[in-house]
Amino acid sequence: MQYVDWVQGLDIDEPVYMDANILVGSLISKHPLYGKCANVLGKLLADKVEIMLSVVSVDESIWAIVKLAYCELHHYKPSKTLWNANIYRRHRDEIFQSYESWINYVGKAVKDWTNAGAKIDVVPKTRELFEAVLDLIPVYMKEVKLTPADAVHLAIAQKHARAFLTADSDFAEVRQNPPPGDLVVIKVTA
Amino acid sequence: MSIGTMTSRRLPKPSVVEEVHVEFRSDVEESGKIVWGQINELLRTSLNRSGFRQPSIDLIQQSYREMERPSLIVVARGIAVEAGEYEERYGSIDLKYYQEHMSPELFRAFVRRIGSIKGRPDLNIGEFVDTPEI
Repeated sequence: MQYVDWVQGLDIDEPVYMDANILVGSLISKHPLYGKCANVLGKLLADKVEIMLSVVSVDESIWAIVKLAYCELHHYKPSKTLWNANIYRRHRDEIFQSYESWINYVGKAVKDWTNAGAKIDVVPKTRELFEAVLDLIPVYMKEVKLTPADAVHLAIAQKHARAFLTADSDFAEVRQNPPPGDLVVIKVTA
Repeated sequence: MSIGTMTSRRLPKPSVVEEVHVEFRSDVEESGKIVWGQINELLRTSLNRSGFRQPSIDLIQQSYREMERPSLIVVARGIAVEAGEYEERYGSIDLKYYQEHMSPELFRAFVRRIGSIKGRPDLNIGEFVDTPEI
């Protein structure tokens, strides 16, 4: 496995597994990574590259947007705001009342791009691949020191893709201690 | 019976204008529009009779529309945004390249969705998308 920083013009082998932060980063215009995330995504779409998402990516993307909506409602800074399921449950109604359209954007974007011809797949694709992913998750949690969700991303990417696009610095351990495999982890930084 | 002396005092001469354009805009919904329309029509008729020619209703409505609609920039077929939003969402995006390398449908879907959430500039996107503890 390799770990490289994304630069303009970098050749990216397909299929590409996309982390939630790239998807969210391409939707939030004021984010410092917005331009890079949107351009990476645009290049993949323009080059008709096969893009892979998992339900974990969708789950994390929606959580991010829900937290953002909560911060908007209360004028909080996201980086300094405590966020968990209990807070969500308490504020769910007001979040939906004001920001339901935001929460729909992830699904609408993926469906719009797919319906317009983008090659976007949901993985794991088969039971065999799913079982292989299950086996890898604890290995990556232990050896790459990842959280369960990040280990799921890396395991899915390893079993389905040639490249894993992420903005999450938690995967930096791959640079120091690369596990076996052909996957290239590509880090998008501001 | 006393007779007062009449004095003549020169009144200020009304200023001469060549055109008077009266505009009334209501801030109420449909029910108010009818009343304001009637007031508007009465005033227009009166001014027309006094020699102040009023523009047609169509011209007035057109000028309203122009006032209400700031200049828009067309990004793709059916997608137009204000200049500020264009700069924020598309200023750092190589739209020309994508337009040349995507089908019109995909380009339209792409520009329609990217940057569609304003958000905040202080997000740490790496940590931001972590699923919270249950």
